[in-house]
Amino acid sequence: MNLEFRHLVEGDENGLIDLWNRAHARYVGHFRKTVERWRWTIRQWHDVAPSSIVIAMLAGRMCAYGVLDNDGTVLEFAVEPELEPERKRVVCTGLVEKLEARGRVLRCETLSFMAPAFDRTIAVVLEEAGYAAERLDSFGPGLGILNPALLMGAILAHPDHGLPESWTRRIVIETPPGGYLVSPQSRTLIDVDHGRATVGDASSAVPENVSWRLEVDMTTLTDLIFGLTSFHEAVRKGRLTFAGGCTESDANTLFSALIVKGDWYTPQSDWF
Amino acid sequence: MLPPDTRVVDYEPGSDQAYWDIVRACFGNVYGDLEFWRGKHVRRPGFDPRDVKRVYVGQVPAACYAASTAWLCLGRELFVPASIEGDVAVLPEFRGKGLTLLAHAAMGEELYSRGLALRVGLATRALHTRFYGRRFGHVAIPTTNIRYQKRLRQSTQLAQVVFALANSFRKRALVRRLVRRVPLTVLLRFQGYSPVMIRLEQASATLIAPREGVPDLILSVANQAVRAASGSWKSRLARFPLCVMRGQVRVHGMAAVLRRLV
Repeated sequence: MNLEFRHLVEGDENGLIDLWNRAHARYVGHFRKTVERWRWTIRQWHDVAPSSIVIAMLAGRMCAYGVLDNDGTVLEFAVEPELEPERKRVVCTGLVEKLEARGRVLRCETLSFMAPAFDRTIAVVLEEAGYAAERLDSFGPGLGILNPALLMGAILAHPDHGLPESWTRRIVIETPPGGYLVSPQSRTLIDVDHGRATVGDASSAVPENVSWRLEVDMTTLTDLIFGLTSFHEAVRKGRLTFAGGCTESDANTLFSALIVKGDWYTPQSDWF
Repeated sequence: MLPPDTRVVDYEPGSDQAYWDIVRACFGNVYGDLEFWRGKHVRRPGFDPRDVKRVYVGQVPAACYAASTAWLCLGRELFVPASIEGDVAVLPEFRGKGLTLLAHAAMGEELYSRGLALRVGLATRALHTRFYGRRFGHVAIPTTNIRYQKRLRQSTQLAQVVFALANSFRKRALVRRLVRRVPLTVLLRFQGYSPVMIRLEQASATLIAPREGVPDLILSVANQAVRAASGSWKSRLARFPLCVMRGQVRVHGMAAVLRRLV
């Protein structure tokens, strides 16, 4: 296997970001990287030297990289997802060793990686290298919806979140604040035309010719969209109501289309 | 509850020190220095003076609140504009007066006017439960994040201690019998430390890289056992039987090793 390791050189950033995006495409909860933001995060804000950025090259192509902060935190660790498992294991093992060697040069007391739980290759490599694993239940993202119309519009516009093509109707969702301190919108209008949705803020005036009316407070809406509660649980507890010809099945179809699916992973370099 | 003459102001060039004073008073040396603060906020690409706010009570800068904006991934190629909020700090003498809520509300109105869909903040679950979730209404998102840690410097020390002990043990009669015909390779896996492999022979003990041999005996010590033990390395080894009973210490290959004594 023609595996080599080298440090960051000028012009590498685009390749690293492309590799990062491919490696994390299946996860939810990370922020989009741009070259400018990456340079700021890694090279300026965290002041990481090029010799602390290790790149694995397989047959002359980038296949993995790791970024070691001066305090022993591995800010980024990405591996080409298309690699077959055995090659991935060898690449990860080598990369971890290189980062540890750099950590010893920096006199780091500990080395700390963050990885998603479902990446078994990285887990096995790190555990075999002696790393203690800890599920990060005690720290994580808190999330609030600021603009429900914008959010729901973006979700419904995505090919993975379609509404039935048979639907042509005007839907209003009343969204009282619930537990929210800041809730600029109180009403969202969803115009569906053969399954294609146009979503807008209707807080200022009650729309006319509405087919269905639903009401769900912002806290419950957040729980529903991010999979923290089920539609049936919300209905059972009276936190979601529907009227005007909308059946429970219809409402379930609508909210099912709004659910953000995927495993949430917030990498170390995104922590603010 | 909110003190009179309380107002929220945006960042102004030259006001870095005012922010830093609040952050340092609240977080101490853990946070970093003024240059770290500048690098995180003012020098961030796309920084907007509205991203960093100070709350004044009268003439006193009493609290600060910061945000960054980026595109949050909600699935395959689905990105929405979001804020990442943090560096929330309130001077101790002004806590409990609603300053954080005021700053959060002011930031929220502005972020909404700038077209953001979501607000994200990273905090401990305890703080979220106690404050952010309860006061802001935000929800805690469970993640798949796993943290892996290893003690680098102490790993080197551990290897040295093990090597010294191995050299001492190999002179004992029992060990000499175990290795009289063939060497004995022992792999020690202390969770949180680099694995240590020792080859014991009658004449010597050698540290070898774990990949360069097949161990005859593997001793695995879980993190709980490592952390629970205190005192010297010799006292930790003395607690060995109890840890075995709890399953925190596992031994593989003992039967084959004991057959050497026959």
